Amino acid sequence: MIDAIASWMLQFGALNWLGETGASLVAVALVGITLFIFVAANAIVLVYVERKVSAFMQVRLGPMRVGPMGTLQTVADALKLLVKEDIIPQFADKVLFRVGPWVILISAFVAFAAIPFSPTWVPADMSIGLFYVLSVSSVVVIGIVMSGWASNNKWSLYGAMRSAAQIVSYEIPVGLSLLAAVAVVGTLNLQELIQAQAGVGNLFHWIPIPVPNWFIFNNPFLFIAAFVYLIAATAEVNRTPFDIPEAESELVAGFMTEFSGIRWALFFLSEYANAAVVALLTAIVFLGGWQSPFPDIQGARIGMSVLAVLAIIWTFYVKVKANRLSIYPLAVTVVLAVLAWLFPAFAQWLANPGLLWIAIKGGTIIFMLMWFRWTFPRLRVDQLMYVSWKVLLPLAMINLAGVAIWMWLTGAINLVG
Amino acid sequence: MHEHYGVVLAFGILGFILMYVAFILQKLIGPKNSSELKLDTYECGEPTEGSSWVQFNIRFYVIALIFIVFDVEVVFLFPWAVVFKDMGFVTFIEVFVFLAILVVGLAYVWAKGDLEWVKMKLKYGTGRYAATRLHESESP
Repeated sequence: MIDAIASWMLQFGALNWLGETGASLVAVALVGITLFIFVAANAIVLVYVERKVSAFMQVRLGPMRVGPMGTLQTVADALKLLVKEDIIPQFADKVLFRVGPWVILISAFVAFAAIPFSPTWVPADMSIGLFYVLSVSSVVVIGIVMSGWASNNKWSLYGAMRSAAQIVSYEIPVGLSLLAAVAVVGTLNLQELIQAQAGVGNLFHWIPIPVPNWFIFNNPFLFIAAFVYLIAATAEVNRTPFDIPEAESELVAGFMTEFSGIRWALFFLSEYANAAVVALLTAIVFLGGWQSPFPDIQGARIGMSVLAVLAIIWTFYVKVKANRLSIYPLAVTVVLAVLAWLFPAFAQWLANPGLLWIAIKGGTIIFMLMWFRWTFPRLRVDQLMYVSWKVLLPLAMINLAGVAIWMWLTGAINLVG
Repeated sequence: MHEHYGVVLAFGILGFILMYVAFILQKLIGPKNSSELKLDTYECGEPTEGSSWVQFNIRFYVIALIFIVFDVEVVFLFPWAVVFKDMGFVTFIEVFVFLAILVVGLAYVWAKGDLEWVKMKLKYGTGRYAATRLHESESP
């Protein structure tokens, strides 16, 4: 992607003075700035969406005052953070207090460098992409411990220690469940991982239900692994129901108690950046990334029709009269299905892989993270450790072994070689 | 190949610079009327009691130790997962031996009760409130 942008820039005579290296550097800067804007906008939009989703789930309105339907609320909040006083407590460890939030933000931000957004859009198409994203996003815990320790505040320290214990505990199920997918395809490159999920096949290869060739449908063990990953990743990004590190009712705000203003905004940004990375990684590894769920035009038409029928059934099932919001899935799918049958170009567009699909998949996962928040009660510390070490870890190990045995039984690997 | 990591470095620097712009803005337009009370450690409005750099429960260290063992395991398993498809039988058996050793380790830690956050079975009693319960059963 960097090379493509660089060579595109060199086409213009006015930019020739840059040379090869200069053009590459400018391209990197452009991509980086775009991604940073994406991360910032991501946080602002997601906060608004989260507040609205929370509100609708609790039958209230959420932010309504600032801008139409409250859309400018989070923009106003961000501006407010900018004009807040920057306070560093007297007894804090000044150096670590300053460095901590940066570590969290930078590690959350650079994780995006290896995320493929479309067949060609990937800032750094590295051969160990998955490993890189995992390792970089686990640096976050160092920043959390730094800022918690540096605050010289009991709430912060407890929050940081809990957070560290939680993140390290859940990192192992995360790693093991992703490994199960890696074992199937035999690469750590995220693009190759997605390319291996193209097309449509049978569910688990032998149940005759046509589904996309995504890894979640590849075999029963990967199906479980996807959920193990999602649960463990929810804990990794400290979201409810695993949010005891910042449990407001116990620890004020956990490791960010002493932070204020723009310094606190760093936590804010990185929290949502991490949620986005987790959602995108789930989409990439288990849900086919930028692959379209439909193989071709006809597939898109039939697929959208099936979705519309499912939406109609669901609408009758939940008796949509109760809530006008529930009518939207029906309306959207029916309109899309009709459009797909009317316009072949639209159906083709739906069947093409690209940014649209990874955005839809990632958005769905983020919506699920918000949904979790209002569905599950917060776990206690001992329950948290129980879930990680006694449920998810054995399950992830069984999954890994199961995937190996499944591949052997289905002949995907040659045992004699 | 290596330019990918150059991109990562560039991203890190860029992220720092772009966010630092916000910090400079804050320096320019943010208020600066600090006082002793503002700089105090927040402890729900009460005067701060002692240092916050307190001793910590040993359980966190046990968790950290177990984490290191299993994280190293995951790191070792990554190369295995990549070559698994092509290498065939040898890696298949090898990884099961490797996993088995770790499962035995996990089972040992589990049986020893080091995965319990709340230790209900102590050597000198049958539960967390063993002494109280004993006392209660004796008193009537």
